Amino acid sequence: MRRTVRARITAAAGSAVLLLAACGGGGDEPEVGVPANADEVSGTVVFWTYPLGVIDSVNWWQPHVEEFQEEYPDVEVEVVMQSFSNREEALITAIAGGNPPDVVYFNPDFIPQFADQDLLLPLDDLRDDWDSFYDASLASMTWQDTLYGAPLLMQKGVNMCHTDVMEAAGVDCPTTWEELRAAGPAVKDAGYYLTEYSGTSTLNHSFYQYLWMAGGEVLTEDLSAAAFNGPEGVEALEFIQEMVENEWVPLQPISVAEQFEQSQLAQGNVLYHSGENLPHVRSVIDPGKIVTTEPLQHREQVAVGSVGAWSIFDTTSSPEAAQAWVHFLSEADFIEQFIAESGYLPPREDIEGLFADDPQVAEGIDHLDYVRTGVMHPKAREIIDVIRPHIQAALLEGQDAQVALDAAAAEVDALIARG
Amino acid sequence: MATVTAPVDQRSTVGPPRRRRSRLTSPGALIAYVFILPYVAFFLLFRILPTLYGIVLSFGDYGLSGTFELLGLDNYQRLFADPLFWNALKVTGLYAAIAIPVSVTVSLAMAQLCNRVLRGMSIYRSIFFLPVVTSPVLSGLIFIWIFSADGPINSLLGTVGLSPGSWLQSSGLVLPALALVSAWMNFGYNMLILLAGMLAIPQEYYEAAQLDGAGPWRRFRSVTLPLLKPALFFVLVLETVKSFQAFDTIYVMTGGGPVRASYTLTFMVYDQGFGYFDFGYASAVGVVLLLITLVFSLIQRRLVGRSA
Repeated sequence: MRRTVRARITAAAGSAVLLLAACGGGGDEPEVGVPANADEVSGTVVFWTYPLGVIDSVNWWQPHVEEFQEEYPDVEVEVVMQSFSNREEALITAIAGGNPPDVVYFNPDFIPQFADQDLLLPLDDLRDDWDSFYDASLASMTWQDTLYGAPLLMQKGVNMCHTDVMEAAGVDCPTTWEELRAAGPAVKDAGYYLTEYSGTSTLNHSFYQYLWMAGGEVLTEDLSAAAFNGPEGVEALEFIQEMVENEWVPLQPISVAEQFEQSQLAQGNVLYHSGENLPHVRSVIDPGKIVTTEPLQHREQVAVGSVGAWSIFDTTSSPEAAQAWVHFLSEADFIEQFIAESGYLPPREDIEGLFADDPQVAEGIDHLDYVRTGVMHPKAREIIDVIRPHIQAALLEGQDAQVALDAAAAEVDALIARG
Repeated sequence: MATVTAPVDQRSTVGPPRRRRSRLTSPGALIAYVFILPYVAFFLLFRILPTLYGIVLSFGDYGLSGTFELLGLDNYQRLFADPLFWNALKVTGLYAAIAIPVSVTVSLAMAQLCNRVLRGMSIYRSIFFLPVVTSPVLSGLIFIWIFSADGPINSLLGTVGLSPGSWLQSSGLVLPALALVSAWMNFGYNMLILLAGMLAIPQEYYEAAQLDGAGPWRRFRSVTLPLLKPALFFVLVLETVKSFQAFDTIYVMTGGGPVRASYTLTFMVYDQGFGYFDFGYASAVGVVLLLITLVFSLIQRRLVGRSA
């Protein structure tokens, strides 16, 4: 009986090992660069895109696929429109199941995570005109001096004020911390909120913004330790605490992830906002009641934003075809068409004259140099999740800002040290 | 020496023992196996195999590129030294301690209310079942509004002279708020199970108790509850498993906050796996959660199930 049990355990363990071995990846790294002869390029490219502004249908992509195929007739592009909801879960499930896409739309925080797992194809040699792109767009897609994403768009969160609130409170649209602070009492007396602070969204759009404006950084220059608990971080958190304690911001968003349409901003009860996409704001708030302004400033001027780019998984069975497709998607002609229809901002400096009839959107292009997208670190998301509860403790439970940030820094240091 | 021989009638019937066919291989049983085979196959494929795979993963480091490195007990050693794990365990325990009694109590009360002959009772029962078939995400979104500062609950509290609560902004109130949501979502299903149990109790027992002078509460306590134990045990196990695995409403409503006050073990599994790609560590958390759920189920079986 004992021999039988031992044999069964051995068989089960062996099966498990075989199963895991079968999942083993690896393979030769594909060559980077589009072959000079388009006739040599063939294969199928599985292309994952997402609803980008008003471009939310596979049908929009079809004419562009056909245009691409005029040059690459032997390449099939399978356009798959994914949802932003549960985006990471869908992608990770596809990768773990051995069915990843070939080309996928990524934002900056994805790059270090996937590049660190050796899943992305370097794109430095894909084009010879990368210097036509904004430095900020390329930097956001670069990890350890290697470019992993071909930028498609830049997004700068709007800095805006609601005219009804300005009129009721008798204030101008603030552009500095001092002006924001000065407007607080009048706005509150008028029955409105000064601004909103989201305690559940990514810190890239909340605490980090104030930290950078104060002149601080999240991590040290070598990314080996926390730096946000320095004097700049404390100043930033105390500024936010001041707004909460004075009831200049609504409490609910600090702990609850609100839909934009349900927010106080969307209901027209907030003076100043930064971060949301202007077309999205306009779809909810009367455009005639929106006044845009330059990014908020303290010691530094910082704008919330992001970069969207195309990355290629190195598991692709058609690397040349995938690169040819991404090369096409990063051409100035295509990007200009996309930007004109989507409402985002171009990542290329050589695209000019867009939004001439829409000064509010055009103004965003002038501020692209102030856009900060986040921290480029494989554990960037985990770092945010570690810091966030301590920020909430400071805002909701009145914990001292230095104590809260020191506690968060200790956890972050331990996280980074673990590797 | 006397020789005892069997009587003639017995001698004629005595012979080699006939082999009785096992009930497990009878034609009826074989047909039953055929009917349950699809479910068993799916259960093995989608429940047992992934569980075994998860247990194996918990002993190593699995990378998204498909590489697996055996680490032995490293994940578990890291887990038991991780303050985040202990916080998540505490939150899970607290949530279960609040949610289970609330859910069971509400379900029992509603089952008792529905255990009567009343015009339209079947319609009422259907209405009470609606939350069960409502999407947890939708329920979570609606309850965000219900628990908001200007929401119905605070308005109701205001009308009776009580001060409003910061339900989802307070570390102390967030778990009771989430437990209420869970009770609302689950009571319909539990109510039907308990109601079926109540309907199976013979009316004679109630009549006899009534004749002995027992009032409604005494009849409920001495007749209904003891005879309802099998159904109660089942509901208790269900609620225990659900509360230990609570995730979707927490994800939608609080994201594990405020200040990790609603950060459960299941949330930790989700974060570690899908957020940080640390599948081995996430699997270790999952295995611990499995063991905790198993132990509690066995304890409940011993305390409640044995006498059921």
